[in-house]
Amino acid sequence: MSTKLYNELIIPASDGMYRYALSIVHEPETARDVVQDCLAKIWNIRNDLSKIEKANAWAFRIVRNRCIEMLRRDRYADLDEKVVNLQVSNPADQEAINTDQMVWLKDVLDTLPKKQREVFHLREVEELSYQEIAETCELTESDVKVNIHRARKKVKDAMQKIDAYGIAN
Amino acid sequence: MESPIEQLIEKYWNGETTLEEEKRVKAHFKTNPALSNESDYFRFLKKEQEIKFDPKVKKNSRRTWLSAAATVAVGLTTAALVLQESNKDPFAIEDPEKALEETRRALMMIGSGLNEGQSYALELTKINKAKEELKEESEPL
Repeated sequence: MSTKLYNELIIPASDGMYRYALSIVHEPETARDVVQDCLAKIWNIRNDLSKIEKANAWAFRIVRNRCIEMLRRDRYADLDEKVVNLQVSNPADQEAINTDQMVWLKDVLDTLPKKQREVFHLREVEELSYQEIAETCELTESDVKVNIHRARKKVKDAMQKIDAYGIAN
Repeated sequence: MESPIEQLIEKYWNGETTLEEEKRVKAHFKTNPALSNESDYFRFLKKEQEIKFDPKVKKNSRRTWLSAAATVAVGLTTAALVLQESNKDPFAIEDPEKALEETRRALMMIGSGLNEGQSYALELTKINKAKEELKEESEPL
């Protein structure tokens, strides 16, 4: 029964878990490690899955905590390793985006404050409800709404600037 | 007068849409792709949604090259060391002190062997002498 729940609830969520991790750590290798760690962790407690109401938001919260742990650990990691990681960080997904002339959009999203970027991702890409986002990010629903509105406004402003002057910033 | 979809798009940018309405906006841009920044934006979101989790660890090319280079380097070093060792006499002694000691021991061994041989030779001479004396004495008879 618990294995069935794991296969039905968690495995389909793994793509979203990976995208969410990637939006936080910006490094495909690290994001993959995060998701693999989380899947192992969830597998170990699969007997409790029946008690969980919103598996999606719950799994995302586990991903979020693991990402924060990873980022904290990285802060103290060997500098050389960090340099290597920076140099190898060239995911195919980003290449596809760059070649698609959407660089301006990536630039705008990169300038968003972390919280806004995170909330924006969960709403626009993962299509979570305000309540689910609030639970995942430990925010209030109104905080979530405000952050999404601000993020969208920045994107819209950048679009209007490009239309008017041909540049985003 | 704005069309219903235009009103919905405006609502979207104002952050007032529900999830369902947002899905309608996204579907609109999917079926009506345009060469506009707005259209690019929704295409970008769709692209983001298509990113999949691949549990297989893809080795990045740089790391693969590094490990290949490291393997070759280790192999070459091992080969060089093995060749160097095989050219050497396995009984050769590198330390001159030790070599001197070994030579001295070998010479001592030869010396003691020679001395032992000499003592037997002396005994043989004695026997031969006695034999000669006996021979001389027996001849006149």
